[in-house]
Amino acid sequence: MAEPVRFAVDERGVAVITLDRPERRNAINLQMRDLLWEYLGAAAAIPEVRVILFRGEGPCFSAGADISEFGTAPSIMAARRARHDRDIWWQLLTHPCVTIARMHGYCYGAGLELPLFCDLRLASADARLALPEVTLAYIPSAGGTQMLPRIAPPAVAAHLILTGEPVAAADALRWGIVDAVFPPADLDAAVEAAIERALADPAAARARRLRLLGAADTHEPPAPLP
Amino acid sequence: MSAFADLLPPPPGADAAWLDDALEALSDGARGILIAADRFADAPRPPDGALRRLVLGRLPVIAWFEGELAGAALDLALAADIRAAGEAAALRGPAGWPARAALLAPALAPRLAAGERLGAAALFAAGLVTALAAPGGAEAEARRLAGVLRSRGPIALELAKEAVWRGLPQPIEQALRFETDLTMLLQTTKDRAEGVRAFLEKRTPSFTGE
Repeated sequence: MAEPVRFAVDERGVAVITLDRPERRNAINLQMRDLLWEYLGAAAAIPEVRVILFRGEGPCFSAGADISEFGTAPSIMAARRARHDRDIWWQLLTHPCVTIARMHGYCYGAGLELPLFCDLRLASADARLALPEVTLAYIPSAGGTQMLPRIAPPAVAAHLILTGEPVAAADALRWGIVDAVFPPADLDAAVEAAIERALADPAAARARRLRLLGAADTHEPPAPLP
Repeated sequence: MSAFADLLPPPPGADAAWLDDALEALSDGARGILIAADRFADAPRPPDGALRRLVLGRLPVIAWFEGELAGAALDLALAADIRAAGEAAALRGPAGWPARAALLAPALAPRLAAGERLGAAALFAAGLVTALAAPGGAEAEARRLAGVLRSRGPIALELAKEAVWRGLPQPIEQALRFETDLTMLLQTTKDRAEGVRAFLEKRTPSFTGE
């Protein structure tokens, strides 16, 4: 069976990571989380790779985490350790590449949280964004409760997180949850242009994420520990 | 399932402790607090600590307004998690609580501090108001939102609210671990198990707050 996350690197040094489980609206399961972890590691290890594009196959980016696997960890401690051992969210936040999310259709739950860790969020006018976790009595747990209030006005984040209701692409743009919105037919050209800009000036593309992280992009190795 | 409690304006001549008293008097079963902020124009300003109880307490708080809020009414509205406003509504600074204004809307805070009047459209654009209704429609929208929150898991709402307002002052690395730990704590609750079960069985979940 084909893997539900695909990874390809082109001659420009652009890695395309595709969520490829359209029959389940690209719901992110444990296998996909592990593949994301591996591919993000690979992208960081290949010096030629300078930009990562996240996209979803089929009618949406991702409808969220695969709930059918919830509660399958042997214990809460095991679930917590697994998360810290393969912390793709921290890996994303500290990644050396420019990261771009191409958002269309449903971007719900983890399907919104993953883009929140990216440098640039480009959305189709048909995108719908939500953190619907409270509808099932859990909370966003792939960084949404912390990243959204740091990206959008905190009151907007509180509204989305507490109600679980979706917002349209135009609302997301007004509140800075996405950086730009395009007619569906124009999204790919806009993503391509953003990739070219990122390749030309990666430091500028990463500046906002590094500010959020509280780090400076000096291109110098960190000082050795004392 | 219990409803949202309406916060009642203090009687004339009440002292500044009125908000603490009102919060103490809330029924144990209240699922949230609704504030008709227009009605608090004459209320004495509560101390910061009482306003902070609204922000950091367990219950979600929704404020709505149609007119111009200033003084204590403005500070009460700022303490809410969610603000709904009619299109003719406005806020007039300065807020008695500049740090909250700066946290919620950094771009507008200096203008509020300068005593400017900010109309509903500007408040909505800045995300300080997140539900904008036709004039006269703010209360209906606030009550609709209260109904939405009432259908959600109460413990999840409590932890979601804590995650946002207690997480925001933390460095991001700590904040992300804080979120994970709240998530893990939530996994010990019956509501969380019920939510997953209901999803898989394609039915509406029935939360008990346990």
